[in-house]
Amino acid sequence: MSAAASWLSLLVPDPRGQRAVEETLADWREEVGRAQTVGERVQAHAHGLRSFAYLASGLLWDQSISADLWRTFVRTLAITVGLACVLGVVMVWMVGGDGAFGPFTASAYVLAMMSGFVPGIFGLVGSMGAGSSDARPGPVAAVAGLFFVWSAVMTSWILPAMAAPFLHEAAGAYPTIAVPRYVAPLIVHVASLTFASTYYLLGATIRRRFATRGWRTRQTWALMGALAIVALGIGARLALASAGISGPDRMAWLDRIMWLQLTVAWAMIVWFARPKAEPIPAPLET
Amino acid sequence: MRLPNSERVILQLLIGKGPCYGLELVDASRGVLKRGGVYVTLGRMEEKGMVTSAAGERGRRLYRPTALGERALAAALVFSGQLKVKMGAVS
Repeated sequence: MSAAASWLSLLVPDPRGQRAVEETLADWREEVGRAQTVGERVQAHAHGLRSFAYLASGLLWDQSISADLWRTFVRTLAITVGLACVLGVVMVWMVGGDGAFGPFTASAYVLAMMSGFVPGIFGLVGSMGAGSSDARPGPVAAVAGLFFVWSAVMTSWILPAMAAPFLHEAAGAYPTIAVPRYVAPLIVHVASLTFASTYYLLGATIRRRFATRGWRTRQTWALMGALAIVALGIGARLALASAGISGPDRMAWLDRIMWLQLTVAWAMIVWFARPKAEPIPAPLET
Repeated sequence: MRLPNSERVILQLLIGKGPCYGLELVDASRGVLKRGGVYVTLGRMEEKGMVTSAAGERGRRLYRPTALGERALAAALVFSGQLKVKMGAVS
C-alpha cells in the first residue's frame, strides 16, 4: 500500500468511497491522456479538479448521513459536558463560593478555566472516538469536519457569549482567553480551531495502527498520544511563565507553542498513518 | 423504495443506452449528474443492488442495471405518473 493510499484509507475508510476516488482518478488520467493540445490538457486538469470537489462533497454528505458520525459526536459532547460540569463543581468547591478567591468571583474563575479547558476536553474525548463503531470503518473525514465546525461555533460564539458578564474580570486574569480572537491573525485562530479535529485524527490513526490489539490497548494508546500533546503544551507554558515573558512577546510565544503542538501532533499522525511493511510472501512450493 | 432524482436518471440512462462508464453517464445526463459525485451515487446504488459493475478499461468500471434497478425505476415512473394524474384531478 502506497503512502497516498494509506492516507486515503484513513480519511475515506470504506471501500465504496475508496473505489469512487480511484474511478475519479482514472477519469482524470483518461482525459489528460486524450488531450492533444496544451489548452485541452489544461481543461482536462480543470475537469479533474472539479470532479474531486464534487467527489469530496459527495463523500462528506454520504458520511454525514451515517449514524456513526452523530453517535460519535453526541457521545463526545455528552462526556465533555459531564467532565466540564465536574470540573466546574470542583473549582467552586476549591474556591469556596462567590467572592472567596481574591478579586475574582467563583463564576468568573470557573468560566475562565472552562473556556480554556472545554475545547481541550472535547478533543481528548474525541481522540478515543467515543461512540465509533469498533467493527466498521467510521466516517473519519466527516467527524473531523464536524469537530472543526463545533470548535468554531464554541470559541467564536458560545464561549464569548457566556464570558460577556465576567469579561472584565476574566480578561484581566487570563488575557489569553478572550483577547487572541481580536489581535491574532486569522490563520492563528483557524489553526487553534483544528485542535479537536487533530486529536480525533490522531486517535483514529493510532487505533488503526494497533488494530490487531485489544480495545483497551488501542484506546489507551490513543489517549496517551493526545495527552502527550497536552503535556507538551502545559510544559511549554510553564516554561514560558517561569521565564517571566509578558505582554505582546508572551502572545507571540503562546502562538509558537500552539504551532509546536500542532506540528508534533501532525508528525505523529503521519508517523502512525504510514503504510505498514508488507510481509514477504513465502516462495511457492513446486 | 424511495428513488432520488440522480438514481432515477442513472437507471434511465443505463436502461436506455446499455452498460456505461461513469463519465459517459455524466455527459449523457446534461448536467444532472456531476463528475466525481456520480461515483458516490453509483456506489450507493450498487450497495442497494440496483446496479452492478465490472472492471473495464484503464481502471474504470462499467455499470449496468440489475433486475431490481429496472423494477425500482418502473415503480417510480408509475408512482410519479399516478401522482401527476391525481394532482391534475385535484386542480
